[in-house]
Amino acid sequence: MSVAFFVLLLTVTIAWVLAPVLPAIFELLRPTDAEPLDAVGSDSGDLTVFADGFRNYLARQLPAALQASPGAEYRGELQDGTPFLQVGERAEFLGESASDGAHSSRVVTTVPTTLPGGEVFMMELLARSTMQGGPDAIYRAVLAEQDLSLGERSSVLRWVHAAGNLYVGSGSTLFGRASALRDLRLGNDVSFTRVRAARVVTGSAEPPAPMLFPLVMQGTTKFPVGTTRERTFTRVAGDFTVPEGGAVTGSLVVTGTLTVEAGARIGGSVKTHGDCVLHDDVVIDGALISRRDVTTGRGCAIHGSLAAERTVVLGPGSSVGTPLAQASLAAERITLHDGVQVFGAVTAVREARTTSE
Amino acid sequence: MASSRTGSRTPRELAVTPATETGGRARLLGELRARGSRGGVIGQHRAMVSGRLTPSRVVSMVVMPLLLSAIVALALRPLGSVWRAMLEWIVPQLGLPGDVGFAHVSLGPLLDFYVPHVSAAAPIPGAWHYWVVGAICALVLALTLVLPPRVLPLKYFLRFATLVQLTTFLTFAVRPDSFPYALPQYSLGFLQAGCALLVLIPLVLGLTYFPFDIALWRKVALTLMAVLHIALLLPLQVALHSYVVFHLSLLVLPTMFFIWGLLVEIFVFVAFYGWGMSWPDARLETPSYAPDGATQPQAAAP
Amino acid sequence: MMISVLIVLLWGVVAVLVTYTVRHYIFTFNRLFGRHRQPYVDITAAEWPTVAVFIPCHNEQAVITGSLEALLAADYPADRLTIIPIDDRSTDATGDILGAYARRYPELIKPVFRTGGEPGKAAAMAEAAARVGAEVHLVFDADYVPGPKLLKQLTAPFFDPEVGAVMGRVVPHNVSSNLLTRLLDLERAGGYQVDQQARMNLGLVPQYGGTVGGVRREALSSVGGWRTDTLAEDTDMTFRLVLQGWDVVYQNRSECYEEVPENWPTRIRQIRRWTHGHNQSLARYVMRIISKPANVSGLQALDGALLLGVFAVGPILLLGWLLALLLYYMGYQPPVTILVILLVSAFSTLGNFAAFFEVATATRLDGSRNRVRLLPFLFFGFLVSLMAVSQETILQFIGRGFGGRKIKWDKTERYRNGGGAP
Repeated sequence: MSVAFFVLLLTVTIAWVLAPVLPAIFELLRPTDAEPLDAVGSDSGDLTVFADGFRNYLARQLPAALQASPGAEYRGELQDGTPFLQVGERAEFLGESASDGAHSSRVVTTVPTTLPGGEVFMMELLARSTMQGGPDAIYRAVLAEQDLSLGERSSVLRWVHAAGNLYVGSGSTLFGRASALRDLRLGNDVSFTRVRAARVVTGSAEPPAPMLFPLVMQGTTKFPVGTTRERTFTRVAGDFTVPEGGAVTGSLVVTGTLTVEAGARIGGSVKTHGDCVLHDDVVIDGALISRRDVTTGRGCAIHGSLAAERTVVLGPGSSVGTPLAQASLAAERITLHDGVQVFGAVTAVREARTTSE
Repeated sequence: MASSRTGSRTPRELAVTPATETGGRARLLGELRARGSRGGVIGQHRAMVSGRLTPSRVVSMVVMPLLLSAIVALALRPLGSVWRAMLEWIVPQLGLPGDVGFAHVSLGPLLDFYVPHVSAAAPIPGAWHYWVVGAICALVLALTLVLPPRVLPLKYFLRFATLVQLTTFLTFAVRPDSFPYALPQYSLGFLQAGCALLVLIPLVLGLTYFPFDIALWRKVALTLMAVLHIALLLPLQVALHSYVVFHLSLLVLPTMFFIWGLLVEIFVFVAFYGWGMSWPDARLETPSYAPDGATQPQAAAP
Repeated sequence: MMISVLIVLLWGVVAVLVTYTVRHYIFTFNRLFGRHRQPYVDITAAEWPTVAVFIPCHNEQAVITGSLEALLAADYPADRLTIIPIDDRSTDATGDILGAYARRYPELIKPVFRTGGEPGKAAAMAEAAARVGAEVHLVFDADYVPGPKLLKQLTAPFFDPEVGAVMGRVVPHNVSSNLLTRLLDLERAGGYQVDQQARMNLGLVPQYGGTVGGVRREALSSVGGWRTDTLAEDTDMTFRLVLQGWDVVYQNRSECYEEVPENWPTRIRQIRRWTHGHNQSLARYVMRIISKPANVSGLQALDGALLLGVFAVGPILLLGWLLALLLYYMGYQPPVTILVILLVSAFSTLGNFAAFFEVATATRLDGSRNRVRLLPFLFFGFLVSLMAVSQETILQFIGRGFGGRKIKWDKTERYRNGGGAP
């Protein structure tokens, strides 16, 4: 009797122990989550990936009737059943098709179009010709095959890409990605996180080309005691100030705060563990990397990329990159004053904003 | 993360949904901002994702586990009675002699409870015990030689257990009369350690499970399930250990303690933890179109 | 007297284990709630430096095609990229495949064929790297399949003049094969998603892992190039760079597939190789890092020392078990009841729970769900690792020493179906 009971008790105990292990056993025998992580994504850093995808999608899904006469006015469905609207020569067709100012179809415009404003495009919009948006419009996503101008206080929910120039009106908000193959001009008080173009420029005026050399230079700079010359850079322990018009040869690492007075030049890349403050007309030949904040005065030129772990404030007329050398501006928060030029990409982890203050 | 209001509708479906059904235009636009073309919500890449340590989360990490731990501590007194009742029924069925004892444990004026124990005395090993336990060890070792390579961890575990058993052989060979433990004390100590473990479980989960964005009721449920499961497991283990040690002598007591003791509870605890960690997030939210009345974009999906 | 010594030793072991437990916990908590640092990942437009991608190969006909095709599809300026597969005495079709690719892409693919000299990955890298002038040297194992953006991502950190080496995240591809691959998938997730990223966040010592990463040529040359007398040239490189004042950075966003071992004997060989190499680095660098040279912070020194000691924890844990058994047999009774029971419980069981916390956190951050249910089976994976690591470490201490193991190609089996010439 006792042996039988022992076996019974043992069985019950083993079953009891295994009960919470059952989810593990089931997952092992009948896997529900055993696929490798999707590690080879092609979109990282590629701002046009959605635009490219949409262009390819439309090419596949366009109704047969439109493939024969691509510029015709059309209201119906794409081959996958999505509501679809194509605006031809008659621009008012778009307004007629809206319900309460909102468009619930994928929309294609084929001729130069000017929108009055206030529209809501709940699905993607393709502008095959130039397009001038009105104020207070909301776009889910826009692909422009030529120049595109978004009116004041516009919002783009997912992405916008222009194969030509892209202008974003004052007070607009770009929630997703914005890109242009030529200039991407941002008006005042535009909020965004990721933009990229041959040149991203703020404000309405045309800024001068980035400075290659400072206006006045007074020779080399003396380093403080404790400075070490490493193989490829000079390391300064603690805070350091490059005097007005001074020059530093080669790359520079500063473990404290770096202040560069007006008109100075650093002939290489810069890394600061603390803040970095550039006064007016400073030139940095290489990249500028900071573990904290970067603030520049007027007309500073960073020829390489600028990456800061906290905030970046670029003063009026400052630039990152050059017309011949693409570069990136990246930080947690970014403020761009009027006349800033970035030849490449601007990415803010939280928010970037233009200002004319 | 997905919105509960609109389910997993695609933008196409959302676009033709009346705004009243989606909770207003702002919410609808928030949905459209967050959803990809196939309807899935576009979140941050896993490389960038972090947790959120809100004040309420911190409170729930500290207060709730302490509360649960205190409840478990206070429940030890009735639990001791339940264990006693269980053992009083099981021990005679196993044919073990003697009554079930009840020892008083006092940890200050607040924590004062009784823990049961078996009172059957296990024998000092005799020749018969050496032969039987030795044969079992040999069998297990032989088994590890024929097990296929794909179950190598099991082979390692069995060999490790056998190794622990062999150290006991060595101990009894060197000092046959000075083994310092007896079965009643062992069963009492095991349940006392079990009590400590039960009180610890909410605290450990407080540090390792409560920080996550999982519904509080789920966190409490997992804690209670783990505590209740182990609370029932402990007396079953004590009864089994007592039976084995009574029949195979004190020679197997160390193996029971080191290999088949609290390690089993920890295995069970990890199983609960792994299961609980697979449960979904508490708040399934869609970014608002205009958070807090502002129009600033939040971090975009990379 | 004897018992007192053993008790002190046991508490010493407990202290070591608690230190590593706390470390795991801090890392995990930091990864969850700390300030997330990936400062270079958004450098997507730049004047990219010249890059050489090295792929050490020894009998890699099954996988080399996939790796080369992936690199050929890379989004990196072709005039600044050179792909250098290093064929080290392969006896299969690897050499023929590389030759065919070199003929097809003569400007881009420039293989090195080794027929003599010291064998092994480190020696192959040392020989090939010495001939190449590119500013950045990236390294991939032959079974790795880099995505199109990976080269730029891994190169971006080198715009920081202090960065000497960069490491990306390794993601197992053959997850679904069996229990072992699923456990390794969990372990890798914990190691990269939490451990490495937390080190990056905290400014400690992320580890350069020898693949899916790279080294600045100037940094490489400043530390004397790749060492050939070690089984872990990656760990060795990490510490030589850190001791020289270079930063090693981890980039969680830069993911690349790898194949993990699909059977236990292969896994054990891999672990033992890592253990031997890592312990070589422990013997060489632990005192130097503890002495905290200039440019190494106190926290970096502590983290570096603990990182070097990782593979010594296995035998220390075994020693703890041995001491606990000895004291148990000697009738050591805890002097203060419950408190000591808690501590001893923590030593033997819960003390290691932080590793489970780390793995579970990583899978949750990854957005995975049900795979974390396999967590209890990690006990068995840890047990095998514990035994393999302990065996190798003990052999090193009592016999082999820290330098003398013969270096050879001790490569991991490949499981993918074979490729061929283009």
